[in-house]
Amino acid sequence: MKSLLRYTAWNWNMGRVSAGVLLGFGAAVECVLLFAAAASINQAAMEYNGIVEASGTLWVAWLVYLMLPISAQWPQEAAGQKSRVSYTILTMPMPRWQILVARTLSTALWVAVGFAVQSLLLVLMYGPITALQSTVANGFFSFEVTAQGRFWWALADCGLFRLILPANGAGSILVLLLILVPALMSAAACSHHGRRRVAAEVVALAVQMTLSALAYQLVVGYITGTQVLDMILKNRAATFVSLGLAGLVVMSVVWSVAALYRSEMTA
Amino acid sequence: MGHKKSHRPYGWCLGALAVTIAVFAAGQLFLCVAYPRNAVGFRLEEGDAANLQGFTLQGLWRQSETAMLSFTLKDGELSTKPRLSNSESDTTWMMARCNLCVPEEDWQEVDAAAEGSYVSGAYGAYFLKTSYEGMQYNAQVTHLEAMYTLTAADGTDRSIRFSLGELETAEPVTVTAELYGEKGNQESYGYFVSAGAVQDIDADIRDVQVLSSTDQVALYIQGGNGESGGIYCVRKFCTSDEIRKQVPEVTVHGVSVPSQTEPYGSIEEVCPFEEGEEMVVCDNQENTRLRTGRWMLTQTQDGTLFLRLLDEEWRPMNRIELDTKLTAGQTVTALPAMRSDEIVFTVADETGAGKTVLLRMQDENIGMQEELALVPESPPITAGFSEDGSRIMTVQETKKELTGTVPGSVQEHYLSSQSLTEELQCSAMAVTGWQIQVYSSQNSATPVLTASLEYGLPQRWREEVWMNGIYDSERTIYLFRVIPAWQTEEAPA
Repeated sequence: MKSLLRYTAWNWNMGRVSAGVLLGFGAAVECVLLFAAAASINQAAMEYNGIVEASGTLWVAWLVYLMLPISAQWPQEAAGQKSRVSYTILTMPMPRWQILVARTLSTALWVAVGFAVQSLLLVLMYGPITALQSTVANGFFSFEVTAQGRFWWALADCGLFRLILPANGAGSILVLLLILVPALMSAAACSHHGRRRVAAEVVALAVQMTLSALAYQLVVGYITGTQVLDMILKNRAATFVSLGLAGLVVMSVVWSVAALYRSEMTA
Repeated sequence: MGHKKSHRPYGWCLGALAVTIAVFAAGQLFLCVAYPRNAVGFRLEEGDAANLQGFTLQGLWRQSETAMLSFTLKDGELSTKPRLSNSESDTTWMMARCNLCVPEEDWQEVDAAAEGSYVSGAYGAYFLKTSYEGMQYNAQVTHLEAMYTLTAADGTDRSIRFSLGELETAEPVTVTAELYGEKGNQESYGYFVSAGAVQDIDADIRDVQVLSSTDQVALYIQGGNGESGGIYCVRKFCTSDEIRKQVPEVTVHGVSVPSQTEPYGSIEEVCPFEEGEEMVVCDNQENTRLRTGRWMLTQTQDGTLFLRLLDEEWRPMNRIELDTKLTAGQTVTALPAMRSDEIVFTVADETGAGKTVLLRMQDENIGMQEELALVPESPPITAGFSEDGSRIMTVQETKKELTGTVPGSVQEHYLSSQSLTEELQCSAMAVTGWQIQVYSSQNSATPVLTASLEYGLPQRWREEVWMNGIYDSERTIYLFRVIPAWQTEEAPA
């Protein structure tokens, strides 16, 4: 266990630069987009959520979400090659399957960090964005929205914020899936080399994109987390698709563990 | 040492983990605990009830609380303890709708100040916000009055109507009707009821026209099948949503309207017509100057025109025969008058030629009458007598395309981000200006230009802009506003 946690932490650290840059760049772009949207008179009467959606922030968040597992995983192997001694010392005493677990955990932590950064960004941007919006709107409206609880309301009504911070069990399950599944798939892909790895990455990205499409439906309010779970349980087609995705994940994991053990035997 | 360090790289990792957990925990705490309880608030940002200037209403309540909403007004701020039942499920969706009930003369001000949206939410919190739905004004009172209909999970509605200074809970089904003028929502035909009770709309379809949807809903029902027509006022009605819940839809005149199996309203005949008498034209919303009453022109089967004077309740006051007979192909158009006691209308043939009839009423009878020739190239917008009746003033329309006239900000105001069609349509409206010229003359043969006015958007077009913007999507927020400043340039020759 100790060795697993140690390798997890080491692994996480290896992705610090690439994932950090990705998150930082994404946050900067989102800030620019939000300010640009708030400065437009078309958005003068919009709710905070409306500005977030109209600004294109969701697309940036989506791209960051897609790229984050890869950017957190890929440098690990490069780092492992560079500091082979550390890598060997860390991984030698571990059963091979624990390597997959450690990589999954480290990637999951990066995705969770990404979610935290996103929610923090939404909170921190609220003040400047609404201030700018009010400034723009002042030229056109004889009032401003200052009712009590506006801050709470704006965030509670913001789809992206509520996706990251769900209020019920169904939403929590979906967020956990959004974090863990890409982490697991990405870690599994990293167990391979060459063309196999490319193939595994494609499958991982496909699964992640399916999940992100679902997340988008939740963010824009077309569907709720409870409805998603209801649909999976009650709708035959949805159940079939979900089982298919789960099957893909399981196959990917089994394939990855096999690759890890094979590489050990080869070594 | 460096070797050891690389084996125990916990610092950053644990830090990130701790910060992430802290952010998530704080966010959850903020959303679950820090919500502003009892914070449905209604606050007049400026002005007072009479002025109806900008206001904001925001509300929220948590599920699993029970009982009804109650509003109180104190020091210009309306607050409430929100309690709502039938919302145990976290997937419950609720709708809040607010109608502004303002007098007609305040429309312009309210247009400028109105803001709002349809907001609904899930995940354990519900949102209530002012909703502004185009022409859905009711001019019943001179003070601010709002009505909310909350649709709970079980399909039941809760309606709250409140006014500044008073609170009243409404009947659950007597909310507001989505009735609009002829240019608006054609569902209005679905509300046709007659003889004081609701009839099956399929039973006897006659020509129904909405005369008013502002102060009260008034319908003109054409005679037929041996029955005379007349004016009817709708006294009680349901929303179209409520009707849809209980009835299938049918098609009437090519328009899909709700039929009904149960009564959903009542109607009162307020002005029966003579047998064979039909409405020709009725003063409409554009004629805002005639505040003390209404009028309409009717014709009998031989084409004789009658002027019907009506009171504010659409009840008959007088019926005067005019010395004008309509022939085939002639159309009658009511024009806005300059004074409340004047009536202006045109009678034109297919070429646009004809006459403008100007009447000044005195004690429910015609005091002065003047007829002016109608020039097709320059149709009148309005006309009127001078105070002593010695002179006539006409306002004629000159159609003129103004180029390069629209400030960019104005165009943007008429854009909607959701629909390209709307965008183009609204832009096209915004870039066309109108110029009207006011002529003063002793008689219509020697007009003298006395004033020239330019308008960016005429009132009639504004209404259409509102209509175009509002009805496409319930969830879309549109922003429309007329900016009075209008810079014009003459097109280069």
